[in-house]
Amino acid sequence: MTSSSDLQQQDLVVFEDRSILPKSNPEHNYCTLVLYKASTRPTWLNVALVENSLFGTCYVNKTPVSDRSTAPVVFASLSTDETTYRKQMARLKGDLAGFKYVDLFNSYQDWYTKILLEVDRQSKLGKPNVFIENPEFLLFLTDITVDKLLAQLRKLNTKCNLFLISSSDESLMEYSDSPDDFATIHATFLTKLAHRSSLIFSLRPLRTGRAEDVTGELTIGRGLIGSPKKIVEREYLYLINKEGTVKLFYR
Amino acid sequence: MSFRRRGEIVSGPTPQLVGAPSPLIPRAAPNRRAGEYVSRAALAGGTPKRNSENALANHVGVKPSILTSQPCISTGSSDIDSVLGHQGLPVGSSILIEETGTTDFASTLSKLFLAQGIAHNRINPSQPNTHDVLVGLDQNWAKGLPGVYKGSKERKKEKVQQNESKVSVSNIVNQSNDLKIAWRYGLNQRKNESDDDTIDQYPHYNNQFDITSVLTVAPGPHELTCIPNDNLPRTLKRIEDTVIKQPNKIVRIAVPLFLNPLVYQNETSAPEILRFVHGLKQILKKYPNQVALFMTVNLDLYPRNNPLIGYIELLFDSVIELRPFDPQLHDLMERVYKNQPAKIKHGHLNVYKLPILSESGLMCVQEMEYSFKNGRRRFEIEKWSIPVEDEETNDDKKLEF
Repeated sequence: MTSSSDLQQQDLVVFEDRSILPKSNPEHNYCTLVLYKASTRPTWLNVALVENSLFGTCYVNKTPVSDRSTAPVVFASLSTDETTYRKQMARLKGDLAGFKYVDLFNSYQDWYTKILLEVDRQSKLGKPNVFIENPEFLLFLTDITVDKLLAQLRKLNTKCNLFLISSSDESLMEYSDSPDDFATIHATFLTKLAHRSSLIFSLRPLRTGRAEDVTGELTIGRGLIGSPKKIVEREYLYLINKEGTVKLFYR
Repeated sequence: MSFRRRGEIVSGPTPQLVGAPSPLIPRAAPNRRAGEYVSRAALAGGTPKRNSENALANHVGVKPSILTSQPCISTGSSDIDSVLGHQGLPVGSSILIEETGTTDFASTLSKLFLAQGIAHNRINPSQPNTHDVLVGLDQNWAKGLPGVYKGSKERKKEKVQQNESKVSVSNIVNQSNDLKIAWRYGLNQRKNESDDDTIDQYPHYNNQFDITSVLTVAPGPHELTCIPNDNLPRTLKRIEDTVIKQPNKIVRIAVPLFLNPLVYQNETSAPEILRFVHGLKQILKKYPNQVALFMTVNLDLYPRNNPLIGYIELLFDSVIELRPFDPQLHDLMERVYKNQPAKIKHGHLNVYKLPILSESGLMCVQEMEYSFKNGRRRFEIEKWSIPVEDEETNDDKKLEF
């Protein structure tokens, strides 16, 4: 069996022109889904995507990214506080003025208004990329229904590129007979979301268990909505060490 | 030839560089005792920005993580501290202990967590530094917190000290019996210093507890607040109020037996439970330099494939499962280790999340890699190895010519 040490490190590539995020396209707003399991949190990928959006670079890649266009970022999380992400962002070399954090962790009731306000502000600098981590928490922390949440997200998506980061653990993906069950609601939400997305990143641990030289698998796939730019569907193995460096390898 | 003044000790100890910066573990600064944690702001000469940072400054029970330098507190079990990777639980973080089966080792760990807070608080009675919060249980449960373990040597020392403190003719004669020549050559002092070197840099960081004993003075309301769980939003409010009332202390929040119908008798919907756990995390992140959370849950009532537990795990910084051995495996261990009872363990310890590391994206799941044993004075965790039955005796007989 080959180990990651025998493999050549690869760059993160999403589109056919070797870019990571789509160029600002006035006619198409991307809805990207980042799915993860509890044991493989996507923090490193979020930071890489934010970096690529803000500066056109990517700390994971060895070779420079072909498309260096930039866009402001609005980031909101319902499960992680601002300090945690600010610490992660500290590794990025550059001015983080284009990065706006919306604190949904401490107050989530008026989430839509807060994000929309920030999107309108950032729109002056270009079409923003909006990241929302764990939007599914809104389904249980507030009284919002799945369809209403999806409608609001779609409305938001008309103004920006949307990146929705969501957990896809097995325990949350099992339908049950009860419509009020957490898993039923969660699975319905994710399934409907997958039907409205153009790009899907998926992070999961190795099926064979823990390994010293591989942290997990990253799959890049097309969503059910077509993308104007061709997406390179690919599977990577990735390795993160305690210092925070990330290496990608072809599967 | 050089001369020394008569009062000076001959060949005294060379002065050590105190306060020399180290990449991970800050050393003792001149104006503090060994084992006191000093925040970066304090080291840089700045004043702490928030009240909560004062909780860390000069706290004897806080030391920097060996991985990230973040201030950590002990969970009361040194082995759990090691498994967490940071040699403790980073302040502002949470740990969820899950347990399967009818055993209740998790409650023992909850008690150790709280007892460690009380032990820190009592080091210097004039400067209390820690406050415990117990959710869902009352003062009677808190009376069962274990006392600090005293070895036979310490007990003997205590007896000797008690005898010496008594006024008697022999004690008075002994007091003026110091060897002056030995003092001149610094022999007594050197002996003391060599003792000090062996003590850890953070001597009060964690204690060893004897779970068969109880704290000699039961924790009072000034060091432990019990908060009922009859109404979860109100419980959250009361927890936060307690944290606000203790601005210069580390606050250890323990939520043992979470969702156990014995303790949580009111009917509570799943969204309400999730809002409560989310609220706890909000408190943790609002007071990141002051609060740590320890929660235990029984997996027989809420298994890991229950989506509610999945959501709760998402909100916790670290998740550890205690899975006692099934009776067959326990019998096998008893048979194999009949002459070495110390090797008999109680169950598997599985790690699902570790503070900070899991958040950064590291895959920290370690299933069936550790085993645990709940001993009288230590919650032992060791690497798991499958016991092998020795059948050599029969083979030897066959090989005999």
